Amino acid sequence: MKQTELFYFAIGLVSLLIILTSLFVYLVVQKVIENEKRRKINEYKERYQQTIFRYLNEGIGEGELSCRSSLKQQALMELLEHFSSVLASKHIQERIRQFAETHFQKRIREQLMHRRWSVRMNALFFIEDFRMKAMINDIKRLYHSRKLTKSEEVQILKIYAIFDYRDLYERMVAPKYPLTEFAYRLLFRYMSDDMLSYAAERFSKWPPIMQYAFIDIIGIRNRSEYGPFLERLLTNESPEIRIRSLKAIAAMGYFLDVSKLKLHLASPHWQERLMAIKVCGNIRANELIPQLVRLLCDETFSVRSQAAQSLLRMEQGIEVLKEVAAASDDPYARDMAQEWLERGLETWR
Amino acid sequence: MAINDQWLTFLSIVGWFVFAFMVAVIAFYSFLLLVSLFQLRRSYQLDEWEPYEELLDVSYAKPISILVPAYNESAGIFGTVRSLLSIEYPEYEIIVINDGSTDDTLAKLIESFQLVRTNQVIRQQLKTKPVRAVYRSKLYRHLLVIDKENGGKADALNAGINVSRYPYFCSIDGDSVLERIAFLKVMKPIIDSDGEVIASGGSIRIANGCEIERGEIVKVGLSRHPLVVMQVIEYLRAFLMGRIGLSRHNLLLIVSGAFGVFSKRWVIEAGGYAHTVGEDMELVVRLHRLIKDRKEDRKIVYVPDPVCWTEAPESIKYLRRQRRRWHRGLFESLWIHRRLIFNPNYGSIGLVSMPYFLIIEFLGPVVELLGYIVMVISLFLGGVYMEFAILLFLLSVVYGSIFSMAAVLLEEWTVRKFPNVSDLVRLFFFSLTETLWYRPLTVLWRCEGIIDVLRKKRGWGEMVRKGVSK
Repeated sequence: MKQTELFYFAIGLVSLLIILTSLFVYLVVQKVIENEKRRKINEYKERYQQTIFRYLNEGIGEGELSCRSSLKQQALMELLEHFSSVLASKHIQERIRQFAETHFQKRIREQLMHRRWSVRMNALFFIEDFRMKAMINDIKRLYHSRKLTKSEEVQILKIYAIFDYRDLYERMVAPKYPLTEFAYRLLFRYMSDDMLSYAAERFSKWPPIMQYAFIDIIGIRNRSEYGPFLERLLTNESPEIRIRSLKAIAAMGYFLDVSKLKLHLASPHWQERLMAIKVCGNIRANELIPQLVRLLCDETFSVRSQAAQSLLRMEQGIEVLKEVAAASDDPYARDMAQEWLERGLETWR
Repeated sequence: MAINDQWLTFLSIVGWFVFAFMVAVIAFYSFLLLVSLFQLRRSYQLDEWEPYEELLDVSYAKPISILVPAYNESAGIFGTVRSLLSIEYPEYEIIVINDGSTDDTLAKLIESFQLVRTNQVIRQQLKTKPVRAVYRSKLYRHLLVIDKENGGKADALNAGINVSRYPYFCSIDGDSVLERIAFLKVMKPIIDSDGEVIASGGSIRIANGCEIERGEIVKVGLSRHPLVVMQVIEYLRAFLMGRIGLSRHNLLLIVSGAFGVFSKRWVIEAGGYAHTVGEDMELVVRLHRLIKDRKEDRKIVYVPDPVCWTEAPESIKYLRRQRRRWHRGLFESLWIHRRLIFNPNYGSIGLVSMPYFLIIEFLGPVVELLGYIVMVISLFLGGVYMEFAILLFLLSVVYGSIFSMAAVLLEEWTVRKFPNVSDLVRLFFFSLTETLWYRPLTVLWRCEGIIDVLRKKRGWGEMVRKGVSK
């Protein structure tokens, strides 16, 4: 009995030992190969740096750069990436695109269909960086393949946006994986003006997060031509839409009618009050001061803080704040006024 | 003779128990290993920079408040803040919390960064010891220093949260080196998921042996110090093998205190940091609890790329102290949240994570110690017992090394790796010796930690035993 158990133990031990040894050998061999590869790539990079630079600048010597060795290609791709990030001029970028399209297409096409996710992603990054429009059909094939993951979908749509490819809008409203607000922002950020206005007309049909992303990007990108569009959204029944629109309006410095603004200053949602106060900071109309002073006693900390900040930007704001700091019945309002009076002075010093 | 027989039976029962425990542990780890292998292979050789480039654009970034608690850190604080001022992130503020230092930490900060006192109103969302003053730097608008009465690390962090302006915060240990794009990396899952991820932590790696220049790792290296090499192996195993697997199934209970990002709203609603030894783990468990109580779909994730390099203790004395403290911290978290253990209402956290930490992480050392004792006794008994003991021992050497080497393989699939073949060879041979000296030592220290728990809190000693035996 004991002997057989010992026997099985021993067998287990030996097989584990075999696993261990092969793991170790694999690691070492792999490391040696990788280090050797890296060394060769670096050698190639050093050797061809001048040539490629000359080619990009003057368009000569392309023949020297053509190659079939995979390591050399890798080296050239890395060099090209480097130059593409440091040399911004248009004709160089154009030449990089041409070079990449002539020499790397086959390699990148293979990578796009690779089994491993990271290889496919890297290929997409290359296509984006080198603006390889010639590969649009390969991208489409990946988009429709069953391998497609969520991050690849977003990356592909981003490339569509950068290339101003017509399918983009349709894919955005009916994505394969549900897109996040972040993804929508990314896509609106890169979308061409024409497509943006095409999209805006269909705004009401979108899922909420797509709408939010659109509004935010308008504000961040300062697209003042969409000001009236945002103003119309202020009557939307969704508080989130109103809040985001006010935020975008504040960010753009768009002028809003005082009477309209007063409505939002009295909103039951504190975020809406907060954003409305931010807008006040741009408008600086004295008739808003009484309401802002009242908001210094608001129940929400950030609203009080923002009210003081906006008052500070008004013409008579400092006097008003001083008055509040000295004489208000509300200790919160006093403290807040005091803080911003000091902070304001700091800014100007 | 009869007594001797009974002894032998007892011994073999204990022996078999230890063996069964070992098999269960190995099975669980193998499962985690498989998940990690799959996950890391998938992203092997992914471009280092491209996935994060986009996040530098302010259109998407969510601003972070970086909290640096400091207690008597006069020597290192300038360097830490300095390196934080040059991180790669579009919008952030740095808040140093001087937790009633008795040295010249505050004076040094005031002088180096030209701090001026402000009357900032503090929003008391979490209760803390009184704040004496808030300072703002004249040189860097996004640098704040809070001076408060001493209340411990958790209290300092809570004070920092109260003062912070941004929706996410990150706590940082004073003595660690961050990768320049560390913040982009840990924020990526949060931004990508539209805030479904409420906390995210990165890998911690050991900086000893690496070349560091101006607060940045320029070359990864392996220390010559055996104690450090063992810790390197340990960290690789713990992070790459353990946490990826746990994170994948939202089972993660630890976001290392040395570097992690949290959603401020969630942390405040959970009540902030608690005054315990392992405040980082305790908070994460509490967050999980809150998620389950509210039945919300939120996640806590782990990012495999190394983002933070920390200095490991090089002497037995400090290592022992650290391990005892860790184990006590682990116990406190388990004890405070004992209601979760095996509680089906808390889903996988209650049924898998908590039991895992209780049985394998917390009680494991006791079983292992038992194993060592049985082994030593068996050696004296001779005959078939001795053969068993030797085989069991060899088995544990080999399986331990396999896991270690597998962790090295996983590391090869991440971004930062050891550059030389000789490093691999050294890791291999050291891992073979682990069971001979390092493992027994850590087991002993962790058992000491358990004894600390039992002794220190004599007041609720009885309850302790109840909690452990559950």
